[in-house]
Amino acid sequence: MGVIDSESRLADWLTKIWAVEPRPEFKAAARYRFYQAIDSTPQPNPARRLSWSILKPVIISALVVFFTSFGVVGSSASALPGDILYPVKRGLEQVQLTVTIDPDAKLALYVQLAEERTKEVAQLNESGRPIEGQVLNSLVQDTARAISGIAAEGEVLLAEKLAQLTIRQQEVLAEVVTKSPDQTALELAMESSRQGLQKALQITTAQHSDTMPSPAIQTVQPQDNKQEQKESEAQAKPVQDQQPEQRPSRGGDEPLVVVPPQEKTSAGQNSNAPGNERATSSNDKQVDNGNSRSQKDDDKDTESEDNGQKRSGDEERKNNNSQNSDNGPSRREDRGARQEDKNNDSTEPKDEKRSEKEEDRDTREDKNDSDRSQKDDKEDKKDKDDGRSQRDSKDDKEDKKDKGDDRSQNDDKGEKSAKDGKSDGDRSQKDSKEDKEDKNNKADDRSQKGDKDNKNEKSDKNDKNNNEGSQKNDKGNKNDKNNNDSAQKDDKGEKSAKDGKSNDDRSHKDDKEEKSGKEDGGRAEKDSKSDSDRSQKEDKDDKRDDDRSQKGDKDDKDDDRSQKDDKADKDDRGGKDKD
Amino acid sequence: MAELHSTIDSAQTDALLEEKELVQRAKNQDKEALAALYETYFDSIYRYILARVGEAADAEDLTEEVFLRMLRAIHTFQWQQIGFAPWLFRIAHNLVVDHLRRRSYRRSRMNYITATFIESTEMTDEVEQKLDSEHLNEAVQQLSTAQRDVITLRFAAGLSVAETASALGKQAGNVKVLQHNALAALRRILENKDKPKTTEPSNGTGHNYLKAILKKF
Repeated sequence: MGVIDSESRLADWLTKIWAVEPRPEFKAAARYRFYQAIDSTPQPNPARRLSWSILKPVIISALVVFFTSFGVVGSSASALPGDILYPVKRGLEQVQLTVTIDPDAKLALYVQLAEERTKEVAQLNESGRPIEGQVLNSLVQDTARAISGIAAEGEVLLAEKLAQLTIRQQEVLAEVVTKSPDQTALELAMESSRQGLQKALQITTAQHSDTMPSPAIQTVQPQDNKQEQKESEAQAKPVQDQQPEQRPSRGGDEPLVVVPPQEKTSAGQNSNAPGNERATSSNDKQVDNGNSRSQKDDDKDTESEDNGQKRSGDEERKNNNSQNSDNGPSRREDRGARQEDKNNDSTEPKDEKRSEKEEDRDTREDKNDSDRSQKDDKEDKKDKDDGRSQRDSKDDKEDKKDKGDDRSQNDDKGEKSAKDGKSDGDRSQKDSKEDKEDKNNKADDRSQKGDKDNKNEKSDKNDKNNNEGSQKNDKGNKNDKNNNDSAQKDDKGEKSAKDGKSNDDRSHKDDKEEKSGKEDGGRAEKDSKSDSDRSQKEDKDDKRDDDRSQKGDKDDKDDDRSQKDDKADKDDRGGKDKD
Repeated sequence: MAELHSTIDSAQTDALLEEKELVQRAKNQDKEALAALYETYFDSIYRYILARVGEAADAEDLTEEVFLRMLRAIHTFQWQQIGFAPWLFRIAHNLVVDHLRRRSYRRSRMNYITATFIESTEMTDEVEQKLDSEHLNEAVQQLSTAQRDVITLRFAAGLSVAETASALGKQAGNVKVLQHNALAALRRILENKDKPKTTEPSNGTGHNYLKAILKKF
């Protein structure tokens, strides 16, 4: 307090010392001069004041609004559902719609907006974000708007655009299938886009009956479809040769996994759909069980379950080409190793029984499903231009090839197995291939989900495999375990084949199977020791390649590479089969 | 203190409302309003400048210059909560800074002592006042620039803390701290200054001299 007290007193003292009055003479003179200055000072120019004090903020604010609005609008163009700017984007679209008066331009805008929705779904999928039902609903709405508008106008060019759009939509939706939490919305979207495609094709065919139909339309024509199917089957044949071997292994995989009966039945039903359908109708079904798709393909080929399995594997691979292309080589090698292992094993009689039963079942199912598959094939032909359709056609070709080859192969095998143990070895080889395919497929599914993490996980797995291989050159390899597992699975698979649930559930249970396979691997390792060395070396090389290619995929998702890998896979299989 | 401040504040708000109207008119070159502002702030501006410059002649010139500048620039004045004084004293402050930059301190001090105080004080207090002002000026010159600004605006111009802060573009808390430190430093300087004078019988010890000064209030 003393300090404050003295401080305040000091302040008072300061005030008193400084309280000096100006000289009165000076004060008077200064006042006089000041008043004169007031008089002489020009009246401030109000306009000038306005320009400075009012116009300046106006100009600044106008500039700010101008630039910020442009920034918001510009950045909102790339907004995705869930982004802050997404409502701005939709609002701008609405403005665009209301501003557009020309009916043709409006129709074009409808199509453009539907394309935008499709793009959004695809981008959401790529970025790994969940695709809400609302997003799909808006996609359905915009697409329906475009469809109805085009149907009313009968615009051919727009109809062609619409056809391409719906095809693209179906592709995107097919990729999304496993990720969207709202499956009903997804199915609705698929349905609407399919209807849109049909309508677009109707319009184009109606108007263009004389003139050149658009490529998308051409594919729709039934004759073309048949031709394509034949071609695709012819192409598929070489692949099929390999498939029969794989078939038994898959059957073996099933028993390990406890499959709920519902899944099996659904899988059986779905199995009717041909592999070609995948792009269109099969996608809808896939929503619940993507695996069923592959099964359907298999069923289609009544004669060769193995082919179907292979095909399914191939299809999945193709779908995932960009991401999983790397896995291809490892699969091949693994299969080869398994084949060797299985040659040692003596599971021949069971395999034979199983394959026979499966074949019977498949034939029946295939008949039932043939109707569906035909429709699908037609749709696929419509899609010629799209990569998807190309894939489908390949699948078809494969299927056909598989049919022919599988039949003969199966027959041969059954005979051989009955007579000698070599046939068993072939089967076991097939099984091992199938196992690897399953794993690869699973990996593909994961990668499809678009998570980089998943990819990393894959690469990690591969690395682990490599490490293990190097460390435990003789026994320790996972591959060996897998091979052993496949042999064990084959035994179990026979049982499942008897039940008739054979292949449908496999894909669902793949994860479980893998686990169980690892567990079983310990036992089977002893059996496979002799073969394991060879297979291990191969596996190592393959896996290294895979890792490299996977990295590339992460960065670029190069379709080229993956395609090459697929081709390589096919070639490898063919070579193995020959062997 | 709090009560004092509140009463001052309420009084100030009334004054502020009046002043706002006055300034508004002055901005439109209303002669009466300009004259009123001139009369209101002339003395305090002069005191502030004198306290800073120390030379009456310079202070007079600068004071006139401040109001001429006000006349020219008042149309750009944006009314602020704190009133007109900070704006006007900012003009004065800038002028003083410019002026001091051109002049040496020593000369101004000498003129201040000889010219101003002898003329403006009564004969009885003349000697004491002269001594006090001499001491004070020497002491103030040893303060930092910011402390000097605050001290002169607060006690020579008689601005409030808020007005001072606004005029100097500082926070009120900052001004309070500066003022406290300035006063404490002044005390220290004055006490130390007295010590060499302890030999002089008239002043006694430095402590005694400061006490004598403080006892007057």
